[in-house]
Amino acid sequence: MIILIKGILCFIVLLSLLRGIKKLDFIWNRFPICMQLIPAWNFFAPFPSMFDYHLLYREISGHEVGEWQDLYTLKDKRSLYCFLWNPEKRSIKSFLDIALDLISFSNKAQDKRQVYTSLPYLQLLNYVNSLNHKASSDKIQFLILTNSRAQDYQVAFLSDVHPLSKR
Amino acid sequence: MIMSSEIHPNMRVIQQNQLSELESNRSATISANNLALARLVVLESTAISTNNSTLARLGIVSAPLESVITSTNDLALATLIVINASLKSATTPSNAPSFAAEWLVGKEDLAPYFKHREGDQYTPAAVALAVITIFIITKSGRDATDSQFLLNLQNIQVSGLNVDQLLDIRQTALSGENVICN
Repeated sequence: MIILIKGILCFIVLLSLLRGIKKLDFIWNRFPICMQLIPAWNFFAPFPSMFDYHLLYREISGHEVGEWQDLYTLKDKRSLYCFLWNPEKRSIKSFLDIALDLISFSNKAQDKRQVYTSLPYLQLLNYVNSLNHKASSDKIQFLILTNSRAQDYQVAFLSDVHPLSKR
Repeated sequence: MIMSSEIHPNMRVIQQNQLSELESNRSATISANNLALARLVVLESTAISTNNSTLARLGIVSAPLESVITSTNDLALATLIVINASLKSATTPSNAPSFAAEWLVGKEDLAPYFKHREGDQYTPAAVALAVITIFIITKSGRDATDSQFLLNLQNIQVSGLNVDQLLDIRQTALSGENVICN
């Protein structure tokens, strides 16, 4: 029995090593459920995140459209003690995951209605909706921008205009 | 025949160098012997405290062994004896679990703790624990690759609605099973 367990563990280690080879993906795709049990250790490789993501929103009151305001922008310089105390990283990570999910889903969805009722869209909309707004504002819209050192700002996603829900 | 007084000074230097080299070799050999002796003493004491059969074997060879090593420079003999003792210990047939503690404490003392081992009654639990561990390691921290459902929202107006109304539409669509399998 011990030999059997050792054999299974060695087999899993071997599969996890082979899984890092992208050319063998056609094999793993045939067994999607089984491959869920095999760990993948390539993490962000071979396509790591190459862009920064920014969340902006604006308020609309009647025919008056406000300026875009930054909600999440990465700081150029971190504090010296950020390795010890950096609670902001959790909200930044949450936004990054939601933004990536929303952008990929918007490319995959068949029409805008599916995007507007998707979870990442509703999460961002709910967050923007929950901020403090001017009393005169009655609608909101949010925007996701990307940029990098090699690339200027580009619009990755632009939401619809939604009325503010009364809280 | 060359008398010692006729030896060239350079030759004397060479001889002295050779002499000092021999002296250093001798001291190195003595150090090696001492190391081998120390190893054997450790082995002997370990055997005495752990294994009675090994104790009996080493008890026979340990007394002459020490005199042999200290009186001669036969390092190979000491090494062979160490290897021989190790091989004998390693090849001794045993059904007991091969834990390091066995060698430190002794089979007899540990026997009560392993009396259930022969029945393999804990093997299913060990297998279940291994499987659960693998499952947790595998699934933890992994993001879902395709977590979004494609909702079937034909003939439903979503533009111009606030977040609460959109949530209601989503809930209605999900409860009505208007989900396109992707």
